[in-house]
Amino acid sequence: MAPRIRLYGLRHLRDEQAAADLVQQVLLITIQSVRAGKVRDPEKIESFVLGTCRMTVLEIRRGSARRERLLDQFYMPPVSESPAPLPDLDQLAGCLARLAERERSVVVMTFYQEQSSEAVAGALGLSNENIRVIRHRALGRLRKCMTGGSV
Amino acid sequence: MSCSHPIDPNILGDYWLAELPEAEERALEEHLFACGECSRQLQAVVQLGQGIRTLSQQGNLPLIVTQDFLDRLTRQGFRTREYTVPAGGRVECTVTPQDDFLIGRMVANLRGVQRLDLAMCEPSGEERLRLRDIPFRADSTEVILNYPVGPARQSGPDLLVMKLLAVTGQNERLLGEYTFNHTPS
Repeated sequence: MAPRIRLYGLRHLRDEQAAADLVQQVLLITIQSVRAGKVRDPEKIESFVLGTCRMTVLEIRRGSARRERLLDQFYMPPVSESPAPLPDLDQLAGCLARLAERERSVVVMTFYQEQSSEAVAGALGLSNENIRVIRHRALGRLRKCMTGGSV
Repeated sequence: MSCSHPIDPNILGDYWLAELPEAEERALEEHLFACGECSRQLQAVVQLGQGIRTLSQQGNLPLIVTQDFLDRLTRQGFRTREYTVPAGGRVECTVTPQDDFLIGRMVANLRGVQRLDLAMCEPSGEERLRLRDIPFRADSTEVILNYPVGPARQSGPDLLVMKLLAVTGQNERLLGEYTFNHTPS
């Protein structure tokens, strides 16, 4: 579950450390809840964890001090969920070089700071829908190239 | 166990960029938490994005960029070396080990242009490389190129002529020629 919680944290908090903290906090709450018999259907533990992620992210956004309180009550060692390794950068550079100019500009501007289609569209003078189409096509070509197919 | 309803990687990308409607996002998250395979697919999308970001930060991608992109780099503490050249102009340029990005600004009137190519040429006119159909704003007065900083650092003296070309069908019209005379630092 830790990798899924981390991804959820990265997606909603956009910060590696905050995502690591979320993993720790959600696992802690889940363990507590299981021990206390609050998780009625162990088959649906994923839903419980997701619900806890949602609540916790909301709390983090509200600046809650819940984490500190829980850690004071129940010590739990940090979860060593290290970031996933990067893809082969030389290969990726080669694949990016084979994209059309628009595709390369769109994916770089999108992923450099995880900008929305709207932001990239405004900067490049294209429509949102156009940016999404270009991005989808470019990412498809990159995935294919990275798995050994031609672009 | 394989997934019976695998999610299209493009949808995962849209999710990652927060571009799905809320109801669709919530349903997708339910699926991701229950499905290891799709969760791994999302991880692959995220890793691809991180790889692109890392390469971008190394400054080695030939890339048309925007002022907003450069502003973000500056805010993040990256050092950009910029040269602005008018059409028909020439600039003496270099790059130092302290520079993270090497930027060329080519001033041009882009009104009415439908497709724009950037050709990198020898002084003789022979093309080294052509960037075809580059993105641009018709109301902009310049094209901003991120020139790969690594090769520039390793380069000896080099005279590079860039040409902006408006392309219509089989025809092309020269909008401007920009000469960069590079000397090592």
